[in-house]
Amino acid sequence: MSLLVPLGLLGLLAVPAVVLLYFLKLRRREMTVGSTLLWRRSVHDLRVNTPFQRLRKSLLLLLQCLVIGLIALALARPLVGLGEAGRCVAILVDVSASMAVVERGVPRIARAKAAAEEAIAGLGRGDEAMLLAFGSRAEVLQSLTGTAPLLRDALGRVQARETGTDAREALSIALSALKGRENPEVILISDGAVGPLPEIPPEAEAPVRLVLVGEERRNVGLTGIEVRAPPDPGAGPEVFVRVQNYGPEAVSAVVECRIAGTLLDARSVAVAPDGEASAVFPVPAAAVGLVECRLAAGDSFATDDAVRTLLRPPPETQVLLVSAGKHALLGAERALALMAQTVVRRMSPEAYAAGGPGDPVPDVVVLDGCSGTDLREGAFLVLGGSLPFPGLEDEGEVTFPTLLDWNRTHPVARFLSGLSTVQIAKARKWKLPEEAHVLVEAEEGPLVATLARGRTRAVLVSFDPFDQSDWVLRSSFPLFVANAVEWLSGAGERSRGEHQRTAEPLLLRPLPGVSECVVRDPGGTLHAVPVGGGGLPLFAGTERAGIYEVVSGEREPRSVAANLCDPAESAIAPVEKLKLPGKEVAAIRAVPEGRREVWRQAILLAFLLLLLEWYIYHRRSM
Amino acid sequence: MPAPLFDSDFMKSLEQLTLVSKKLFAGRMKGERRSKSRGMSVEFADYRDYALGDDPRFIDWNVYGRLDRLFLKLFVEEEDLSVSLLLDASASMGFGDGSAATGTKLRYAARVAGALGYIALANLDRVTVGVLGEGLEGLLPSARGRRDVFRLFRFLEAVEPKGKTDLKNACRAYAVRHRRRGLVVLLSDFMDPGGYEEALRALLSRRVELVCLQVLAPDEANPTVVGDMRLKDSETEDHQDVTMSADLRAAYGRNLAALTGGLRSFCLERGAIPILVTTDQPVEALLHQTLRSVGLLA
Repeated sequence: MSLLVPLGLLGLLAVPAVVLLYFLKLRRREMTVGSTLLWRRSVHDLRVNTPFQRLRKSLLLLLQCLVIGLIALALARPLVGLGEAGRCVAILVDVSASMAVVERGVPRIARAKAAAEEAIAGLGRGDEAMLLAFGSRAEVLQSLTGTAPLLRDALGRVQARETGTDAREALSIALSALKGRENPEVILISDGAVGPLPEIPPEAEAPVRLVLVGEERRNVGLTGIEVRAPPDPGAGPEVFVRVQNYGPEAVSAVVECRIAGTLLDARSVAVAPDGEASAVFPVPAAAVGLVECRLAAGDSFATDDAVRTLLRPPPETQVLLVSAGKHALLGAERALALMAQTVVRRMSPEAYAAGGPGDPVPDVVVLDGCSGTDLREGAFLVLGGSLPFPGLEDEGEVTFPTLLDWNRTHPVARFLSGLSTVQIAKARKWKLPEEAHVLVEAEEGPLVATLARGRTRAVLVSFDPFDQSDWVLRSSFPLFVANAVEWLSGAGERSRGEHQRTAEPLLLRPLPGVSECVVRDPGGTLHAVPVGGGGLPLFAGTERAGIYEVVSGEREPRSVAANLCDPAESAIAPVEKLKLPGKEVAAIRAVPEGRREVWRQAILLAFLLLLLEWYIYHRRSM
Repeated sequence: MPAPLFDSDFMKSLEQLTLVSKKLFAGRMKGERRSKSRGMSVEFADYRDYALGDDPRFIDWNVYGRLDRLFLKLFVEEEDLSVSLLLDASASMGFGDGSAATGTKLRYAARVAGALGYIALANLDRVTVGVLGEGLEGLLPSARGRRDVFRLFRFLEAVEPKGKTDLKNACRAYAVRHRRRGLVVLLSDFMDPGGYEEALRALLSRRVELVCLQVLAPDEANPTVVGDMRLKDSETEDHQDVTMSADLRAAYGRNLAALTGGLRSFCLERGAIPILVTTDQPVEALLHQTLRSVGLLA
């Protein structure tokens, strides 16, 4: 046993005071006897035999001293338990979506917090602990500290997120923090589904204890939604929903589909035990807005009972064609004309260099042989020419380059055929920066590449397809232009159904010159996302399922639906074993008892002794 | 008004009893018991030679005729017994359960003394009662015959417990004033801080037959109180703080046994009769059983 506040033992100074009072103020019943002769002799005998007999046999005094001793002990805040002194504990709390499962009226996250509170309460003097919450990513809520109130404050901020689970980052952070510490220990409080775990290096070895919360395994959830192209021309798209049953019995789930709040249809879906099924809802062609599919009968896990997507009208792409050559105009315009929802505007290189793209701001600028043109922020399709792109070195000209291969999986190069037969007379030999991605490569160097840097995206063609090759005459050229414009404009990404999984960053497309975008989360809270500096502007706080709105910073407000859609998370059955590389850790149901404060028990015992003393006192008086 | 010491039925039962003395003492008057003196009774005892001055009426003339010598006939003299009842009336004798029929130790002792006195008077013995305290506090001079019974009872009823115990001083005072040999019954709790030995020696020096009747209250013989107590001495007003525990009660028991055992040994070594009685024992039982068993009554 150790003491948190040893000064509390100063309370024991009251014991001599009580003993003194006992002798001074002891209330005695008076009784007249014939003679005190024999009593005097008897007391004398006892005193001679045992000098402290009076003290020892005075039960009331003994009880009073015990009461004072216990109160002093309580003031000293004693700690008992088997834990080692000077422990260093990392408490990892699972806050993934499955922790929101409500069992017997209590969410798992509440049980997890109670277990964490027990772990904090078990900390003794000299112990330190840190608190981490992890869902799909880890968050250090409190770094290593020996101050329990700080840990409790941090614990109070813990709440379940609607994301998947990945404990690797949290475990890595914890092990790094515990490295080199005395008596390290990791307490992982979870329902067990924590995903793959990292290998723990021997020098960072710390015992990992999995404290399991949760009992329920039955769950029916919607784990996917897609908006598919219509099977027939002219028809509307189809909304596809995946239903999974994690229970041991077959269920019949009713899925309702609503568009902009209006019920479109409801389908009954039979799902086998531990199986999955799908529900398909044809949507009118003109329908736009929020599509929400929901299980009619809820269960203990509500987060996966609904999925959403935003149905958009076909996107319209603004293209600015900057070109001086009539051949080029002809070739590029012909290719762009094949694309639906595309508006093409022409501009001379001189006007572009002087005044910029003008209004409306184009989604894609096609630069046809505009050597020396500065690539400003935006998306560019560069067809030949020498460009002052930082990091791109022009190493001269090559003739009749021999085409080797092209990346057929990239959106820009997909569906291209017959490229190997394209004849190229002259091309620039480029040394591309590291972030460039080569799409078409010749022996002499890259012919077509993509480049993304900051807020600039570009597709570069190192030769003039109109004057220096016959590519413009091939069917692959307009397809390439269409692919490039679609990729650069993001039209491909902007499918009719727009949604993403929770915890996936929301890619923002800010207007040039905008310093921040503002995003409203499903709870109505506004988040300002700065867009200055390098890198793509992202909003990473998509930890709740629902609708996120980019309310400013982009060309027009837009909404994005975020769904859990995580089959692993919908599998809510507790996992009894934690599989660490090389070993398994059996789950326990309670936090291992550390050193526990027992001042409450001391006070209770003191109170009971006080009652006993009172009883004995009155019994003797009777 | 105190209850009478005896009722008539009890006194009738006492009339069948007689005080027995193992020793024969010279009485002052003729009584109903044999004396070592030769006297005027009809029971022949012995002969002796006639001496000048003897009463010629007791000369056995038949023997003179045969032997031609004068012999005097001697007869057994019947004398009274001197019975002294010494009653300790110190304040400690006022202790006892007032609600019991027997009352305090003093009342119990007075009843016993009254009973013994009644028996003695009924047998024409001489009864003297001394009240002991710090000294000889009171004295009933010699009473003899039934006519003195009520005087004896009134005297005993008037005795009140008071003062300290000083058995040595009181017994010496009594022994100096009453030199007659006989039966002495000392009724006391014998809880004298100065001890009882000197007192008994003073009585025994008169060659009396001594009976020590130690009277204790039941609470003295077996205390049952518990808790933290302040015990007040009834004689000295001194107090003793005690915590009544099993150990303390055991120590008290040992000390009481030492007191009673010591008194018994002291008496037996000197031919005296020790008797221990508690006030919850009926007086009748004491008289008819205990005192008979020790040979004091017949």
